[in-house]
Amino acid sequence: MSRLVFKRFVMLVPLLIGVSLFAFLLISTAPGDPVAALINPVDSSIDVTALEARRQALGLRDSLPVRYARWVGQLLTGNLGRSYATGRPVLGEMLNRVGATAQLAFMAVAVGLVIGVLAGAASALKRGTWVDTGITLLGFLVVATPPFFLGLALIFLLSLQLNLFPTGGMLTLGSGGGLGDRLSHLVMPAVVLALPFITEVTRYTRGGLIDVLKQDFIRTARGKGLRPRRVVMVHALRNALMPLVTITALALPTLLGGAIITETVFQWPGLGTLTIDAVHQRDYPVILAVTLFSALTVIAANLLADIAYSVVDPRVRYEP
Amino acid sequence: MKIRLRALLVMLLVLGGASAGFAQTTLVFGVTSAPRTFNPWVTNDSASWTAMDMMYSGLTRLDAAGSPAPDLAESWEVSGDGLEYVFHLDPDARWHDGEPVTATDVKFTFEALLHPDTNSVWASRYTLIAGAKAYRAGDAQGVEGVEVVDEHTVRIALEAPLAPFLSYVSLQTPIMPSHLLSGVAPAQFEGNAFFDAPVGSGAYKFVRYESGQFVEYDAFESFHLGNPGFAKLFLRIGTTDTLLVQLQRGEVQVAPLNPHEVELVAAMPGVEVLSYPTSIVQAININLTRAPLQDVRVRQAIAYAIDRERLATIVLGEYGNVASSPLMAPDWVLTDDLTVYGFDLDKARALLQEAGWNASTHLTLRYPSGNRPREAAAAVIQQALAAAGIQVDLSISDFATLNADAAAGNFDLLLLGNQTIGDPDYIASQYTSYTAPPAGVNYMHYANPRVDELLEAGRTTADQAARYDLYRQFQQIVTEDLPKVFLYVDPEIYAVSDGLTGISPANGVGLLRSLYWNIFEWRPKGN
Repeated sequence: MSRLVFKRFVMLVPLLIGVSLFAFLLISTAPGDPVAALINPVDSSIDVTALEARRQALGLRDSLPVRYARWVGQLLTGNLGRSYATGRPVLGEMLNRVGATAQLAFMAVAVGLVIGVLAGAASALKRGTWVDTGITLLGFLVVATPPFFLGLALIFLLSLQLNLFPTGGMLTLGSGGGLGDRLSHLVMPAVVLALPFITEVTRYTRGGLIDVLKQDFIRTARGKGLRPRRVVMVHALRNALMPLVTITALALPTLLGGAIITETVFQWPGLGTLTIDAVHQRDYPVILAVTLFSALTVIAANLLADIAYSVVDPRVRYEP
Repeated sequence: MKIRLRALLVMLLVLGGASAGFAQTTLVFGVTSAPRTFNPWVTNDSASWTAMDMMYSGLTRLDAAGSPAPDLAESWEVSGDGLEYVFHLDPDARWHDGEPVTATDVKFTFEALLHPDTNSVWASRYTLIAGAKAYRAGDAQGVEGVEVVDEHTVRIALEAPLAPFLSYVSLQTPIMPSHLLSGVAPAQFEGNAFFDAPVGSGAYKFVRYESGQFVEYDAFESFHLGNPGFAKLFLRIGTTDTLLVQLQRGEVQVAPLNPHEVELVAAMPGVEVLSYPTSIVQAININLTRAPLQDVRVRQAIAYAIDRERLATIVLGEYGNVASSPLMAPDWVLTDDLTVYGFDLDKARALLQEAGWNASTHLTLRYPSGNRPREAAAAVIQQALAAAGIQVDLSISDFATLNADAAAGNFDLLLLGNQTIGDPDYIASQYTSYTAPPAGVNYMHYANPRVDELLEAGRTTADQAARYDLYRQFQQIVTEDLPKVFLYVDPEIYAVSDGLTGISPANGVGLLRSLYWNIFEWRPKGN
């Protein structure tokens, strides 16, 4: 196990260099620059020479290799630099947002797993009945609906009509934002974010369970006279859920990278809106930092999946 | 476990429900983009300025008519030759930390703004202050022309008369606290901790900024122009969709609207729609370095081919106002004595034929994303020009791309506005030959020596009647030369809760500020 972790760490170095270099080249070749992005062109009373001086001061007039080397040099000392748009340290700007995104992501995973497994199991056990068909259709409907529409529909229904949940933001303005207040703000965005994931979990659970229920050991278990409920819950479901470890781990980086649309609709200040703002503002240091963060979460999530898999399935061993 | 879950759910529902509705003395102002910085020297981004205007104040401000009115300076005198301004500061003016606002702060502000390391986008407004050039060149320790007479009196001397000086001082030039910032080197202003928790002297004092969510302010009880009406003010960042829902629920009291959303709001009880024209004139900027567009007949054909009445109605509905000149505000500058290009397709075709227009030529019309009426206008223009025989390809980009490409000359036609905030001099750099890129924002590379003279004279002439004549001639020449085809005036539309009183929008004065120029006078109804 420790060998696996060590190997992954060694892989990390070339991977991060590759990702950062690629991201750096990509955004540097995009048209426009952070200074141009700060300017509202309708107001022409500004001093254009100041803009050029700012480019110089930010080092934007240096060659690409020099800029990349400078950025890597900073990074090696643990400094992610300052945002071009706000002038504040990038690390702080990111930490501001990571918490919000993490809350949303983990809530979405939890909701997705609970509802998905229940729906998938119901679908498999009532296979071919209207329950199965209904769950399947609902799943497709959910996957086919754009999240911004779902988000607005939920706001309309649950906030405006039924007054159950707040319309957006992380807390009630002017309140201290207690636990209950924060949780109630979290419900709708988490559900919208979780919906496609719920469907995925449902399909995997249904397929896995149907497969497992056909196998010999289930017949043996039934033959021993175990209660049907125990056969399903303990023997079958446990085996059917193994693929969920993988899909959950693979879903995590996407969720942690920030959900731009969900965040925008619900005014949720996560990494997604930070990223999209940074792209619009050509805020290179922020874009690079977010990209590195995403790369790290992908690697960490994969590692997590491998480790978790070997835990839930003792047959899996990682040997050289 | 079951019981606990149920308890949690009940709690969520109760708290969720309870979160609707606000205390009477909280004002929530909806905005659609997040402020980027609270440093007043580095940006003209309107979202940042809305956030800054709530907490900073300048020497003067523009009133509803667009004229300079007292702010930190309770009175001022201008010398007969227009070279000397003496400002008398309000002795009651205080910083949010309780310190008095003094002449030293004014001197500090101008020196910080003009310091070369500050890289202020506003520096060029003030280089006519005596000694500013020497200071910027590093030949002087301070700006000689900004003189502290006594604690509450400051004298500003100019090298040459600058007609829009008071208008400039009123906008985007907040006085900043010397006692908190004078120890900071100008190169360190950016990213300085002061701007994370700024101290100003405006109606509302900064409490905190939750990145991407809201800016929170408290009323500043010692505000020199009177007590603000709300104990708390929030700028809430959202999309117009969610802001409208929040307006309906009473969680937001003011929200910006697109013209097509007005219908939605009309049905909401307790919400009224406010709209007024701004001073932004949208126009097609023509790249005069491209050979086929150098022929004035082609540019006239473009003007004749577009039915601007129809265009304005399509994109803005009842809020559409046609523009025939770059200057639609302030009032004293307006003139009827102009060449107007009425819709005439036959004339457009004839002019193109006369100019030997090649029908296979494609022109690229570039326009920025983010302004829905303008995005719609691009498509209408494409159709209109096609009818006259000009093929147009549309190309939409974000501001960062468009600004860079406009400066590099990568366009044939460019859909972009110009704006006069209180003074016509604001648009000069779009039309003077010496401000063509890279020196400025005359993206068309328009060059007419007479226009240069007129705009220069307009800037340095104090007498308004004489200025009117200069700007009238400027408008006549520009509408004949047609470096731009003027289309329509941008409106500003807001949905406002009828629980507010004291709102009196200023027509054509500026951006968001037209609505909230007197935000310190806003009150909750019944108080």
